[in-house]
Amino acid sequence: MRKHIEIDLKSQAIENQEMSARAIAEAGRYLIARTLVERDVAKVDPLAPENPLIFSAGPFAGTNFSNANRLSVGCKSPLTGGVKEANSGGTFAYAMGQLEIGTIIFNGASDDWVVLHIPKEGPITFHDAAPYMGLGNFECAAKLHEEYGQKVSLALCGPVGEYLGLMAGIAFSDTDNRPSRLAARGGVGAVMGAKKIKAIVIDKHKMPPVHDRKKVMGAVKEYGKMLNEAVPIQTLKSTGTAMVGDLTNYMGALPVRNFSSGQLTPPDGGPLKMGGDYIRELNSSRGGEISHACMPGCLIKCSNVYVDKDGRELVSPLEYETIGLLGTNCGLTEPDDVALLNETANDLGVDSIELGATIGVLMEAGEAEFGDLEFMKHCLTEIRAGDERGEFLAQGTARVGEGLGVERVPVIKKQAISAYDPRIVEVTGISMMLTAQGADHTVGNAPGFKCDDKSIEELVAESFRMQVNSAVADSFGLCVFGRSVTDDNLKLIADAINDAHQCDVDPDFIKDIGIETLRLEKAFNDDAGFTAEDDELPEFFLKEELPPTGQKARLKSGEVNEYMANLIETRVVY
Amino acid sequence: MTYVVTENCIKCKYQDCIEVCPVDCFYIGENFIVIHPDECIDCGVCEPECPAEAIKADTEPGLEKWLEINAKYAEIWPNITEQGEVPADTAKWDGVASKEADLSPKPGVGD
Repeated sequence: MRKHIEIDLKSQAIENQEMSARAIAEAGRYLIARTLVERDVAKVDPLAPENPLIFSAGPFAGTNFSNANRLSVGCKSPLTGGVKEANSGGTFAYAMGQLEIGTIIFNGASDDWVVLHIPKEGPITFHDAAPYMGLGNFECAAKLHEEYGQKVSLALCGPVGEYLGLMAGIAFSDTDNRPSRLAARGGVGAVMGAKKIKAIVIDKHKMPPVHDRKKVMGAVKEYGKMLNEAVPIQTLKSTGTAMVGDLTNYMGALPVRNFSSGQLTPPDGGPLKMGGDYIRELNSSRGGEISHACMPGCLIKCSNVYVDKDGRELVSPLEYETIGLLGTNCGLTEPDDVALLNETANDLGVDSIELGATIGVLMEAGEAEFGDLEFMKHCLTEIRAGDERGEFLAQGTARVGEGLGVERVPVIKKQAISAYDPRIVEVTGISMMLTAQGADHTVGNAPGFKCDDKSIEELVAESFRMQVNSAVADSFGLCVFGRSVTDDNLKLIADAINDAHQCDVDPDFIKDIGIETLRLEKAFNDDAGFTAEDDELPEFFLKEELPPTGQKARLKSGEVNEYMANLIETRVVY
Repeated sequence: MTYVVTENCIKCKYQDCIEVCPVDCFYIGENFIVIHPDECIDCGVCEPECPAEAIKADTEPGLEKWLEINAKYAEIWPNITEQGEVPADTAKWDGVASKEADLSPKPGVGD
């Protein structure tokens, strides 16, 4: 049994509905797209009370199924104006599952700032948020744990979300109660702020009842065994996502100095300091944790706890895309510097990708030299203060670029392009162009796919395959990093859902959910007024040769959309 | 980090923890259960399952002795992956203080 909870923030009325087995399985990104379309919110002001904020946990939430406790956060994005599903690890979906809650939808807006408490027994309660207002996420979390104890998970609207900054995400507790797992992208934190929810505190409990526990536990173990035998998973475990930096630097696809180069250092010039191997060795020698699970039970453990030279924690996690955008894209060369800024970004609750791209654009505009760490720290101080300049910066890359009249602004649908230059990593480039989410690599990332010998049609087909499989993962609470196993074992996933919830799904159902998610998201964006023009790459990618490969982008919206439309219609994925 | 089984498990042995372990890292003695610290993946799912609240994270202070006991017996006791027979007098021992002297070094029956 799982509950669907609707909360009206203005009246504080709460409605609980028991979910059908099928509804429990139709979760996450799919549920968000469907709900936003059904509720006809495509044309509403994203910061108005009419924009619902949706939290959805997958069918395995609350159990020890590896990497199956992701949380999907959805709404109409105030950053892009389109559909938004921002996805986070941590313990919040785990706690939802333990309390047998599948979905929570926050409707309307509260008159005063509130903290919501979802207890394991008894009704959801509302509390005055005054003691927590203006606090950074770490201090806020410490104070909430003092009040509610350690056995809770938190969702926090940081100080930037409070003033509706569009780079604000929602911060969730990790397995050690750090509020450092962010549903980062698209301004979901600003939507939480517009609803005047400062924090949501949910009790942790115990594993929820499932229909056939023995069979579910069998699937958990079988899946775990396959993960442990999969080479890509073991690489993620040992080097974390930072290893992607070694790959993109080698390929010439790493964002460097506002996407003006694809390489920080020549591959034969010694170890890349911003890469996985170097960071692992350095962190390990300092006594940091090189492998850390963001979700209970996750066997992939791609996260880390990065420490300074004295062994003191700087940040957890230190991830590739942050290293790319907030690091090399701003001209930084030392992982310690990125870690320092990343921790501040986490405290502010902002998207480190959007933040890095924004500062890169400021440097492009001549406000500072690339690599000026003090300038970057100062930007964060301004964003924390939320004064006129801080509020301007917190609106993100597209608006800052436009405000300053910058020509080279790396965004699609007003969301910053992630750390994969679309001139080289073309499949990911196509995914970032075509997705209704704005330039989000997680919708269909393929950094290792050899692109330069493929036709555009072949690249779109690969992007479509990745987009469907990623939408599947995002719709079942699964981390995309398990895809090297889950993509080929949909029957195991389907059977486990059936054994857990007495359901009747099959692998085709799972694949269809992925395709249907993409269709619904596009329908939402069409209704919100998006056209194929919004899918174009910024012009400089098409015009400028990217050193060292000298490659220009060959991706045009019209052509990639045509192939994509055909693939969605024929539904040929594999 | 790992989870460790502590004193209140002795003679209680509810074994609710065993079935939820995704990596089968429980080992059973005559009147106690231990977690293999090198095999535990810190998922924490077993902790709230224990009716006797005997499972703790090793980050809690003062558990060094129990961590050693878990590590020692995990090497010599048999592995157990499914809940076995629960002693008839389980409830009687739940909460009894100072049971450490009663800890039997003898192995239990694994599966």
